[in-house]
Amino acid sequence: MLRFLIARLSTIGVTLLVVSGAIFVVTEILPGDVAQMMLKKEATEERLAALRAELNLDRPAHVRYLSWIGGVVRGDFGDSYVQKRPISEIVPRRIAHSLVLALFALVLGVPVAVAAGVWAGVRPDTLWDRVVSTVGLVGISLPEFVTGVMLMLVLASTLHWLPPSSHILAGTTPWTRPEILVMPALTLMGVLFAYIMRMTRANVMEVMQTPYVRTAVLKGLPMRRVILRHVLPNAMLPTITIIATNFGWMLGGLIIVENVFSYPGLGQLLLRSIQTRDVPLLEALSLLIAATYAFSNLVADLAYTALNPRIRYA
Amino acid sequence: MRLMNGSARLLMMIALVAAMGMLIAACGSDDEASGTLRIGMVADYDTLDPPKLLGLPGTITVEATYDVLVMRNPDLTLQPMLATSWEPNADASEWTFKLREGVKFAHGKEFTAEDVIFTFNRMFEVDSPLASVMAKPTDIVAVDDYTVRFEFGTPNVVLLDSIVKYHAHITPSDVDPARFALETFGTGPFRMTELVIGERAVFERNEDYWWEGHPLVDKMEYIFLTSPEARAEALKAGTIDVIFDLDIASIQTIEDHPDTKVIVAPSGSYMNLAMDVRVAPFDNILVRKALQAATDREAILQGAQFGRGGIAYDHPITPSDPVFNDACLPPDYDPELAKRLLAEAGYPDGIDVTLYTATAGAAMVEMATVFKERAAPAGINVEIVVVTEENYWADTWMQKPFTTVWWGGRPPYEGISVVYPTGAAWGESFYSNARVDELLDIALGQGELADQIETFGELQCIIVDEVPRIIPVFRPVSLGMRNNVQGMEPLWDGTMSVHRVYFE
Repeated sequence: MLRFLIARLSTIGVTLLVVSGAIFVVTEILPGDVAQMMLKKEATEERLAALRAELNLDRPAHVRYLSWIGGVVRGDFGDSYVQKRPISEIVPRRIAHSLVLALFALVLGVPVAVAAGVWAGVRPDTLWDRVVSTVGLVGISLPEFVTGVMLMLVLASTLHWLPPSSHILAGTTPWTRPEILVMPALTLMGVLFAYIMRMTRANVMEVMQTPYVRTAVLKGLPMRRVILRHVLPNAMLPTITIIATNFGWMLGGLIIVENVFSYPGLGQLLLRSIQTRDVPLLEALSLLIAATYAFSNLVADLAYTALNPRIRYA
Repeated sequence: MRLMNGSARLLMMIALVAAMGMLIAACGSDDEASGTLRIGMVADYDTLDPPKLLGLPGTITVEATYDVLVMRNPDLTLQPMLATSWEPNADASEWTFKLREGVKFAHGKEFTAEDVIFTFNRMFEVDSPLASVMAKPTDIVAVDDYTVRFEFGTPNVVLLDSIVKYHAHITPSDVDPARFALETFGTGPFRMTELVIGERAVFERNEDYWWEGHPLVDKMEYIFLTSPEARAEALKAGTIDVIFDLDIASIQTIEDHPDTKVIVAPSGSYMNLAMDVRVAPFDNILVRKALQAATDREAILQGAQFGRGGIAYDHPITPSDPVFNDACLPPDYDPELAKRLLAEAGYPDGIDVTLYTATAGAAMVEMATVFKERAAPAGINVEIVVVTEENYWADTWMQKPFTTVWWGGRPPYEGISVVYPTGAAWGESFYSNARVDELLDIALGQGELADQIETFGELQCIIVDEVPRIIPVFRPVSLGMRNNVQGMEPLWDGTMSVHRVYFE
């Protein structure tokens, strides 16, 4: 188990290093740098040169990368070019905001999706199954900026149930004013629901055909017990992977959702950092998201072993 | 049967919990403090250092927390602020400002002449955008603690045009300038009590403000909202009171809503087509005149700006300006005239031109598209190349011979002097005319309106006749606001008079 963990963690380390290098190369290739993005039309050669010198952009690319990655290894992510303050001051607040939103969406979405999937999988090809499947397909097909704006029009503009934008008012937090989370969370759930529900349904259908389930039913166990003790644990294995990978994906989906609703989380910060070519901030956020992906997969694999005694890591 | 009941119960429980969660969430309080003005605006991060300001939201953050020496009101009258009076000498080469006494900066320092000197010297040191249009003083002298004299050596009647700008907000001389980027230290009507970059800035009324009775609201919140849709919906729902500034596409929906209104300010900001007059075919004045005649200004106004803003006449002076010359106007849209001019220029079968544009602000791509359509009947075949917006200003503008541009509003002298004189820093047309240079020198020494009308009148005639640029439309500057917001008018330089805003 320990060897497995060490192997996995070092793979994750290499992955993150590759990601950071790739992001850096891409930002070097992208047209325009932070000085041009900031000065826009006021960019004379002298002003560009002065700003680049101020931000240490006048050094060669590999020197900038190496000094940055050197800092990261020591736990120093550097300063944002645009905000001119340490990234470690900017990001935690945004992480908290995004995490609250993601967890809110997961807590609302996963039980509903799993329950709907089990329901549909146990009784395939009924009317209920078809309704659930269709809803799932619609959710998977519509992009977030469509569902988001539709929700905004219906729930905020027409019915006036919820505030139309999710900005955080002075003196409040998403905890004290959770109504701002509802529409972004519903939008995120749209896609999440479809993935998890369909995966659960397929697995439940498969497990329902197995001899041990038939045996359980024939020996007279109550159906509820069969589902909860025999079907669900076996059917949940692949579903857990989906939930875990979706957690990483959700951080990406947050980019769109947070911008549609003006919710100040990681996604909004990430988009701004791309638009302004704020490379240190972009690198830090990308690493964070890559790390979330990697670690949520690791957690999924560990959950596998817990749920399935046949898989053991020596 | 048991299965149905079991899972049905489970499902119902989950649904119930979810519904309850949403119900609780939906019942959050609608805390609306009265006397708090909430302004929604673009979420760009920006510096708060006055001489380095580049746009919203920095400009109006500084406006709320600092003061200028002299303010230009929406009706273009001048209002004494930190300067109580000002006077040029006989040839306007020296200007003396009397300063207001007993004014304190936010950190307690008394405002005196040394702060004015510090502010303007630093403006040139840091190469502020204003430094490219304001004549550099040969010296700034503190006559006494409350009198300061700007010395130029040559006449400069347009000094006040620069003094009123947001880059010229007065900063204290005893603070490390590095701190100006993220903190505010001014003498202004509000104190910034909270700044969360990318989210909000909170301001409270400066109780010691020197201007009796102002400001008129107790508190302001700038709320940074990323998408124009979110801004418009938030205004209609009443979670914000003002949108600054309003994008053109949202004007209609804000106007139609019963609780909100739109204020469109006269603006000197414009969109134009720049031609490099050194490069064929634009070196041929007849080709430029043909393009001028093939420009359908009304169609561009409708197609690119939904009819908002105003028609422009190929120079940057607005028709409402006293020095506007209505004797020298470009021809109305006339494809036949354009054809004849092209034939005369040696292009009897029409001409192909390539126009570079990008979504780098204003409605440049839309303007290019309408221009192309309406120029086609004149035998002018425009190929539009849309390049990426990121490096448009660095790699395309002033590099390619035919580009779209937009400019902010500037007073007449500045508007002409940044572009048209020989070797101008932003001489996007690389135009040179000795008479234009001469007239601009003359204008700097003319304090009387009658003289200015004559000088600027001749300048307009030359520029319209030689067509280094085509300027079809002025852009609208608009604010969306709740019906109960009064006294807020967008100012000509893109700030908004927070001193005078109040709730009805």
